[in-house]
Amino acid sequence: MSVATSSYIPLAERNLWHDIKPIPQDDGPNPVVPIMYSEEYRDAMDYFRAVAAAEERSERALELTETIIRLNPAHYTVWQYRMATLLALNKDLEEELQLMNEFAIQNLKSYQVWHHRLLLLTHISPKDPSFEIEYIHQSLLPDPKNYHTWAYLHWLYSHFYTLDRISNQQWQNELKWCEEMLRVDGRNNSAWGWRWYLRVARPGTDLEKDGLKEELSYALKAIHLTPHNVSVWNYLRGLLRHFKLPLSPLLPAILPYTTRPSAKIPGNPQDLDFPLPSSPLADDTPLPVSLALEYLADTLLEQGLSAEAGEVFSELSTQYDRMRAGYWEYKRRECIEE
Amino acid sequence: MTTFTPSIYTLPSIPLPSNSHPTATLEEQQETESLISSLFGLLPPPAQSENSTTTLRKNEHTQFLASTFFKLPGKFVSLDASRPWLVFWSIHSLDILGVALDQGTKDRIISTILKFLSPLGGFAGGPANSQLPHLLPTYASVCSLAIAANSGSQGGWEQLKDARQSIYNFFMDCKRDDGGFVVCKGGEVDVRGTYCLLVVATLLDILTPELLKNVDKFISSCQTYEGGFACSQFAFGDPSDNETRASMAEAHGGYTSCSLNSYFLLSSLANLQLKSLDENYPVKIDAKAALRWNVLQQGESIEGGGFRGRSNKLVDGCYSWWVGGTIPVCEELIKREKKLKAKSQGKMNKIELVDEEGKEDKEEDWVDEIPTPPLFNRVALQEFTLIAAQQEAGGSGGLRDKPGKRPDTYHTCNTLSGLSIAQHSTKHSSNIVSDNRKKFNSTNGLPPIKPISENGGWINEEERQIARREIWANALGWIEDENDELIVGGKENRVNTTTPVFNILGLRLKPFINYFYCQEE
Repeated sequence: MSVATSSYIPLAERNLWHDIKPIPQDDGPNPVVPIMYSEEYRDAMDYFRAVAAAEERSERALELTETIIRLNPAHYTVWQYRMATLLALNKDLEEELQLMNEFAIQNLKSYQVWHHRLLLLTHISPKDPSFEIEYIHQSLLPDPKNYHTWAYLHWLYSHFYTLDRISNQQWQNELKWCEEMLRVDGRNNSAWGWRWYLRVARPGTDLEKDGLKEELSYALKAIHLTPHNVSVWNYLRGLLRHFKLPLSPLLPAILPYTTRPSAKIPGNPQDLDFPLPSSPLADDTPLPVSLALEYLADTLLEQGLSAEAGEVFSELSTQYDRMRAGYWEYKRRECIEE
Repeated sequence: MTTFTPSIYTLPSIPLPSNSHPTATLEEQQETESLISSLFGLLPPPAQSENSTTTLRKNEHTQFLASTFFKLPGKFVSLDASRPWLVFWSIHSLDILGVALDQGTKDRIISTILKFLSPLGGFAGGPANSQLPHLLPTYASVCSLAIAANSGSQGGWEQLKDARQSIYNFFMDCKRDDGGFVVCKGGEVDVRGTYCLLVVATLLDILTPELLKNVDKFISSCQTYEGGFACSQFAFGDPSDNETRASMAEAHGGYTSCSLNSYFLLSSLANLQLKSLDENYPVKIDAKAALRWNVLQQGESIEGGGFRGRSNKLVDGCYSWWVGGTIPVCEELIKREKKLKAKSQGKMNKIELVDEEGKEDKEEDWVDEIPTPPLFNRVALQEFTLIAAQQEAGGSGGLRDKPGKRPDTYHTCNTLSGLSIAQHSTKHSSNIVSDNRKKFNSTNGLPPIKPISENGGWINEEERQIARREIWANALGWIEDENDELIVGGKENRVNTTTPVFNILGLRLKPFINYFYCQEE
């Protein structure tokens, strides 16, 4: 990134800009939060204002926007002007995409960089977006929880799905890639969110018809691998709620984490064909797991055993999850109300 | 009281168990745990004593805010399109700290902000001769005017009043069929924009059915399987359809706050059978799941009880507001759900009873009377703020993400806003809303907004007035239970009370919204 130095040649001294009368920023007298701009930024903005006021769509205007964006990648007005100018001049948008790759590498990550990318892909509208998917996969490797990148990936698949340009093979590859992300770090909640999209939320998937049980098993296996991992618990609960499934059939797979003998739970089906926890449990797995207790309490509620559920909430409040003592107490009182 | 809000100092310091399966997330978590717990180990519990290491260093924070308010070094150029935010973060922080601005500074704020007002409607991130109007700076500018401006001529409010229709037109320019809004011309669509727009439209009395169309569907489809909300959603089919929409990322504290606050504003018009709105307006969200998600974001004692912004991510002071500040809103949304359920069950009887005049006025007082325990650990969050989020004593002042990070104005504002929520017990009161309704004078008001489309307005004047009344009555329905104030480290640490949803002080909200609804007091 360039900074203003004494060697900076003002635009007024450059032939390219001789015909433009710069417009200064209209801040009024004595503004608050004024920024002491570098000479280069102030100069570029003075000319940008003039160019924008004249609605000039030109090569030099593009250059000017690039200069400003490099100094301030959050300048949404300049981004907007740049996009409109690119389109007006019929510029090669693939070249622009290359420039954006460079921006991303320089870690100039902002809402605007990603949105500009989204607009570029919309306009380029490739027959096969797999090169872009590959690029996004690569950029998630060093930064596996970047929210903008994940949101963009969601958009990319959704947008090109509506254009019917995502093949079945592509969907399958994506699921494999996502599983690899989860294998590397099963605590990466972004990757769990992506799995939800691929398995449940996107149109064209029908988990209920094929593979709901498999999905529940996938989640349970992940719980057994890292029983203190909130991402999987939320995923499992999400599945059950989304498909309006009862909690109780899975309870035997969860009970070992509650340190409660299964005999005490009425209506507990014995013949379970869901994966069970390893025995013994992995080291550094202190019991009970509070999220398992919550699951138990909700199962009891589902069975109409609100007094018993209230007791479990009470244990969470007073012993096992004191940080949330008030919330569990609130849940306990709800049991009494109902 | 502390039964439900145990101090960090009384809780065991247990690391997130590894389950013998270390990953990158676990490593980062462990680093943060040791960083924060070692700081807690070094410092005594905040107490009334004059221990400057654990008190809220109001003077230092004021100095920090003042140091950038009148002049910012060139490196702040990255915030050149966020100048209204710099103003808002600073003056709202000062408001929370109880620091008064002199009239000279207020005048400078007013004239600066008015330079951001675009002839196209809406406020830009800097002077309107340089930048396009944008929904986010519009919120920051309007709230800054609520804090620092006044109703006198050249006082800012009058200029805002004159700009109502143009701001409305700008909002409609941003609107998309699926219920989302672009943040600016050619810009991205996400719930930050929705939130900023709805707050401003509420405050300025410029809500219309065409502006609200499908916004509920947009918000509700941002809710994820976790219960929190994502930045945006994608509508695969017909925008009137709710089934073929998908949320566009994982649940996140900032977007959850924007979504639930938006939903609060939208659902103030629920259950009124307004013909101007869709029959099932607003489509449902799962408020209980949202509460659970928010509550689960509070970190363990080893990480100081601060909030994280996503599952399995690290605690960060700014989520004190985004997540902590949303918990009272969740509580209210759950109450509204319950009320709606009760009403729909009682409705049968009502039909049989035939037309019972005056019954409507008798709001269900019981809703206010159910005592609820504190839904998050208000003590722990204050300890996090004092011990981990404050810049070290004698340093630059200001509040920060976590130890080792530099303080900035954004974190200072959001951490202090969350601190305010932790100290004060704010609830939305149906009794207050009832009283407000009775007080509302529908003969007073600014000129109605001209809708863009022919049938975009309220179906008749009666519905317009009902909507105005409900929006106004609910916006002013937040009340503090003063007996439930809970201040860690002694009275000197007390900060002022911010209002959920809006995030300005109640004493700023009231005169400002009354000005635009032409209501007395």
